[in-house]
Amino acid sequence: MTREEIYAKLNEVFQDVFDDDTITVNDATTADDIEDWDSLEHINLIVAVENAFGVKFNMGQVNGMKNVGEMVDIIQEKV
Amino acid sequence: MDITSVGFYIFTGIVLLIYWNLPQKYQWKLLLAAGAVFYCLNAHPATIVYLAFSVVTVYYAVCYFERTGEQAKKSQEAAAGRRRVLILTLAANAGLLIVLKYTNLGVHTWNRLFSGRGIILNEVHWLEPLAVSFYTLQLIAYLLDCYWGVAPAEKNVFRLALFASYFPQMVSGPISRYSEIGSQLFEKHDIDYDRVVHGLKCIAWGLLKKMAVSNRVAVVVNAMWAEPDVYSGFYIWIAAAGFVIQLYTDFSGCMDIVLGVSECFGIYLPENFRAPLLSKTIQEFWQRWHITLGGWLRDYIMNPLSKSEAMVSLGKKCREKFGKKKGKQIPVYLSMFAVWFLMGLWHGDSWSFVAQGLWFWLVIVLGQMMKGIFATWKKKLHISDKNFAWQMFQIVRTFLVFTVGSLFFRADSLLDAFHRIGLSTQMKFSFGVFKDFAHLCYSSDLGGKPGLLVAAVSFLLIAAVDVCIYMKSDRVFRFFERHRVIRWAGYYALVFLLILSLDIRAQEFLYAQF
Repeated sequence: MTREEIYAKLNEVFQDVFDDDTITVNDATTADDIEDWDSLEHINLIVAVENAFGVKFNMGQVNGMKNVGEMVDIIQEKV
Repeated sequence: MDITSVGFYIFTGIVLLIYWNLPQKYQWKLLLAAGAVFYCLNAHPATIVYLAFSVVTVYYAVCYFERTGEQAKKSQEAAAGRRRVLILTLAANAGLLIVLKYTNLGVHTWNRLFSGRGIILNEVHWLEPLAVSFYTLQLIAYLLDCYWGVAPAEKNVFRLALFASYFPQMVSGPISRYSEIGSQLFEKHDIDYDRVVHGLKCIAWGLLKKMAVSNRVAVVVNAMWAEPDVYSGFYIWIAAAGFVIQLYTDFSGCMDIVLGVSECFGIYLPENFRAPLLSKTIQEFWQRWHITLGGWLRDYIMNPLSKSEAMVSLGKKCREKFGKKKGKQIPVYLSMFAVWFLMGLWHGDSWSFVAQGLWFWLVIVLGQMMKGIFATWKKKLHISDKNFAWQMFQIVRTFLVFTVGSLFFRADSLLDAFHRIGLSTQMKFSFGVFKDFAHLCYSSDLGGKPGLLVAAVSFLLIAAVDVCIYMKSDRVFRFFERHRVIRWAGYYALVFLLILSLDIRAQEFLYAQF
């Protein structure tokens, strides 16, 4: 899967989880850039991403992701 | 050895002088020895066995994880073995913490519930451990990070022991991660003028918070707290609000001192406070107050619990039953319940601490559930988030919510907390009580009227700096850096305020009891 394909799918997941069709994410996107992305919503997002891509993040990765770019790196490694 | 005591600074000064003159390979060993001496000076030396037990069990577990990391990717048996070692080590360390800290909570609860059946349990008096709540959390975090493969295993058990017993942070935190301070502890640190000066400034700032404000406010709060029947009604909340100021200046002052001392050694610890009293919501408050504990609970309790198979499958069922929006929140609220329960319990062996944690859980959950309604009201009333009056209202509201929680924190028991809440509803005003309160504020224990003035000026200074920190505005700090005369006037003022606070009776740091 190319990075572009991952982003296309990832945008859909973000839009679905945060109920906002205008969201588009990139490598630099962080929780600060999306209003509802807080620690309460973080795991819902992670589980939705895991289901969409058929991957599993370990807790170290979940806790350590600093931006969407890092999330995409891990997805790319696993798919 | 309190960190505002002369003994502490003599001890630190001696360690620093030796430290700067040692080659790198001996510097961390000196810190380890200093940690052991500091421990023995502050607690029964035999209780160092508890610390050694935690360090050794975690050391063997992380070494095992390192050895079996590659195998576990290929073999299910190896993965299961790792899981078993993790569970055993977690149980041993968390178990030790529970036994040492919470046995008597169990005893008291049992006796209260079952005293009628004739089985009365006796209190257990262990040799009191030092800092067990702090180093256990640090070691558990490191254990899990190694298990998840995001931290390397420390091959030297004594280096791991230093991570758990680094003396500046031993008694009151912050709860550091190995990734934050691990490498710093073992690097070469020469004497660095700028770093030492900045460290000393942090220490002075922390002392100002503790000695000029916290110790004075404590005198008033303690006197009011001791007589709830006299200081009832509105005064209960005055005392509780005073306690919030006392707690903040006590704990954040303590952290400034700890971070400053550590900076002198060249080791930067994570910050624990970021102007929390200016938070607009209680969620934001907890992202700014005791940051390292909140981060620990998020990463090692909340996230693993929310992502567990049971919670994910519950979330799925809830979404089917209650719809996408509401359904996905239910597992989050359940995980949060566990987090806030533990947050409360971590603070002490009384149900009133648990009630404090659950109070915050309730406020956050209600806030989340009513988010939509609040948004509609705000829209109808044309309230903008940028509106100054609205922001002030939010800050006061958050302060009041925290004040209610702090009443549970300060209370001797859950019953005591509810008793005081009951007394706070009495609507009576006595001029005599007001006069007593005014006398209390002017009492000689605070240094009379000048003492009150020192506390007020110091508090305003602290508040002004917090506003700059909150607004991320470093213009004021740069202004001080640029203007030497003003800067030095500030230093003299700080020293002057400290000198005027030297005779105030020292109060024990509230967070040193954990």
